[in-house]
Amino acid sequence: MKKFVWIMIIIFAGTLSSIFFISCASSKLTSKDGGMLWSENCGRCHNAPGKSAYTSKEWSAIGLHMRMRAQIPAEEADKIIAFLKGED
Amino acid sequence: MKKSIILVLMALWFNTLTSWAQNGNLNDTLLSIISKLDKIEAEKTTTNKFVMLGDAFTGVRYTNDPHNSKNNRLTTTTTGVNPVFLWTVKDKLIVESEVEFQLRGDNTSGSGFAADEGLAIELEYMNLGYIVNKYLTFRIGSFFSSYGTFEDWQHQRLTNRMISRPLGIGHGGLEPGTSLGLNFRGAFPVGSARLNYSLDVVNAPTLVTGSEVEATDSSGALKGTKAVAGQLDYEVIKDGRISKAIGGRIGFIPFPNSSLELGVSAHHGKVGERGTQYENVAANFLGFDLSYTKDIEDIKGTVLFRGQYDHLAVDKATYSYSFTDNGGNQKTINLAPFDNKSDAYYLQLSYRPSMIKDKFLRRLELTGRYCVQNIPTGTTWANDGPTARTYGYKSQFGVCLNYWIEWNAVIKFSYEGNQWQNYRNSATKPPQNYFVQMAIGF
Repeated sequence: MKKFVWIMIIIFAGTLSSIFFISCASSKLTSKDGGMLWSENCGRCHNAPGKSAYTSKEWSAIGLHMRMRAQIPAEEADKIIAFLKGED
Repeated sequence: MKKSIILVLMALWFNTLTSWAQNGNLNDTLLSIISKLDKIEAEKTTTNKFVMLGDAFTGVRYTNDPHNSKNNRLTTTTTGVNPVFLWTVKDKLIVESEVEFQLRGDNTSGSGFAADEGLAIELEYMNLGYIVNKYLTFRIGSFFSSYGTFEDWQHQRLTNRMISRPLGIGHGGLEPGTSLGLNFRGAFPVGSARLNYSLDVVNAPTLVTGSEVEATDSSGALKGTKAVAGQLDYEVIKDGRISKAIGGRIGFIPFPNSSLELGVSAHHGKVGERGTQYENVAANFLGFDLSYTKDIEDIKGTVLFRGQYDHLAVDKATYSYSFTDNGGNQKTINLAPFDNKSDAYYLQLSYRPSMIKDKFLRRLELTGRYCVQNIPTGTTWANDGPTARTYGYKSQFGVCLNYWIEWNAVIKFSYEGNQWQNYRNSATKPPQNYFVQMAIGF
């Protein structure tokens, strides 16, 4: 059991360190547009709803919820939300 | 006199004119101000947003018992509506919550449905999330724990391509439904790939020790599913008397099109109640998950492949049951320590001809699933009580045909064939189930 705990600690410490160093570095925005990101990310779990399924205000709230729940990177989530709101 | 009257009349007339003019100006001014206020209101960005989502579902089930046709029955399955509430404040703070209102059917062993009857109202989860930065979100409250992906992302009616949960996976199996505590999560690009993480510090589950036995039959054999010493109870919240559990999941999405995700999950915590002989009993969970989604032109459709493996190891401990038999005698059953390791896995493949021209066929989706749950030998976890100690594994093969009426409305037709080792002390077929379910998201 002790070995298991140490393995877990190493894995998660490594992950947290990676997060720290990567968050310090500048990140390159993906070249994909919001529509492409929408079809790739949203269709992984469920049928991807179209733009007219919800209002612009609702898409803001749903987009934030899905970014958190489905763990979508921030830049990609922002592009998807803009696409669904018709702002891209 | 006449001159005075004329002057007064002129003054009155002039006053009326100026008043009218002033009122007119005043009206214009007022109208202008109101118009500007309307414009400001329309252009103002609302910082608080509220949305209600969720789903509703119902269905029927036919159970065929090969041992005894008198047990064959047609019943309704769980029927319910689960609203999800989202509030966001300034795109930094989010409150999410789901409430379940469900009428549950009778026991459907092997299908994954809840066994209780009547109306059940549950707070499935409620948490407050704060977007710290691009790579980190912090949540506090109740949330789907980081045990693989099925319970968090795939158990909902519109994401689960079958009707039931796989054996042993998710809520009611080797995992909790939700946990209470703190969660840190996020995602970031790694070149053209992607990494996501989710770390939990939550209330640990409670070890069932045998003192919870409620009923026995006349021979003293433990009745029904009460004989569950050694299992973990994820529903009991006893903060202060149990420890915390730590763990999480790391997911890796190697391809730029996000078609494939591989994940590993691990959790550790002490599960015995403090101040008892079990206070140092610990549980360790290890899981692997895989998900692949791809539109493939050559087969004119979309393929969805999912799988998950869960392994749960609880430290060895000695359990005993004390009860009063029909003769009023106090009795105790002592169980020999057993190797308390369980695992479960499932593999599932779905195909939908999404690229063909026929409108009807395009909405069909066919899914096949195989799942296995291994139960520790030497336990009393079988329905037959302590005599069936060699209860082995459960396996199930299921198929489901979905018809998507809309992107958020589906009818499902499913068959699940179960195979349980040592069922009723012989390797024979347990009940087989046929389901029809309708689900709508909103």
